[in-house]
Amino acid sequence: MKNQKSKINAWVLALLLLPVVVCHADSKKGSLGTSSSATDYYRVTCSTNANGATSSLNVKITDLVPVASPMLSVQVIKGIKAKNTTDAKDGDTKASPAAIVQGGDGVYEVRVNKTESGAELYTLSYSCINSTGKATGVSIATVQNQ
Amino acid sequence: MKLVDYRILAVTVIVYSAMGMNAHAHEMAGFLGKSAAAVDLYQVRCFDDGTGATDYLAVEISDQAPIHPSLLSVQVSKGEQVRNVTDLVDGDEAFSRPVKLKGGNGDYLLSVDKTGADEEVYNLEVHCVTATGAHTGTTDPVALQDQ
Repeated sequence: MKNQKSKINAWVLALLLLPVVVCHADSKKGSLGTSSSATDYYRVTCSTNANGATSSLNVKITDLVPVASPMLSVQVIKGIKAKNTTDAKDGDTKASPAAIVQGGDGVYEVRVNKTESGAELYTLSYSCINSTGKATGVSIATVQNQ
Repeated sequence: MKLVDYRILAVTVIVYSAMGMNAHAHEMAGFLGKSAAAVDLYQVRCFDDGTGATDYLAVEISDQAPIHPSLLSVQVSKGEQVRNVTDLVDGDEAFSRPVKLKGGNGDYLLSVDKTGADEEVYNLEVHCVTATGAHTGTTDPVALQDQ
């Protein structure tokens, strides 16, 4: 009985720690104005920390309510490497697939835009990770807010 | 005989006119693979060819047939400025409205992407334009990444 209780406690502890281990992405809320050409532009800096050097920057976007017809996309660019992701469904609180650029430590350009006119709200989720999936150092700066 | 001469003259004029227009068009075709993450990257340089210094770069995109659900977009950036435009109608041969970025002479980065997992064919048109609206020195887009 004591053994079983210890096992349950261990599982509870593991479940409590799981979000800390898995969900190490940072997030930032943003908005795009009505113009169809509106683009928000961020610089995300990935750096070496106790987990080692960065392998890639992973970015997802969530198109938040109110539900509107424009689709939101984000492009991640470092040097001559670029990837895109689009949240195909507005307002469902689910993030897009990740746009992953393997660019190591350094500064990545992250641009958020939409397919047509109409104001949009979004959450940007970003994480710098090493080659084994552990979080490395990350910071974000807003360059252009439209 | 005289009629034939006029026809040859007319064809010659049309061909030369078309060549003149193409010299200013800087239009190119591109292709994006199936992955929804695919991005094509290009660099375009604006310079003073004697017409005057560049005020802005104008870029248009045309989503070509075959028709797929994905929408094609192009972003133009220079320094700390970025703009976007999307072609909302696939396969109609018409270009999107132009997206303009006022960045003066120099190198501009273009990124082309799409909203879903479909193969897409597109045409890009780029023009460097002076403050008085004249077409100035424009290089053809140079591919940096082709996905």
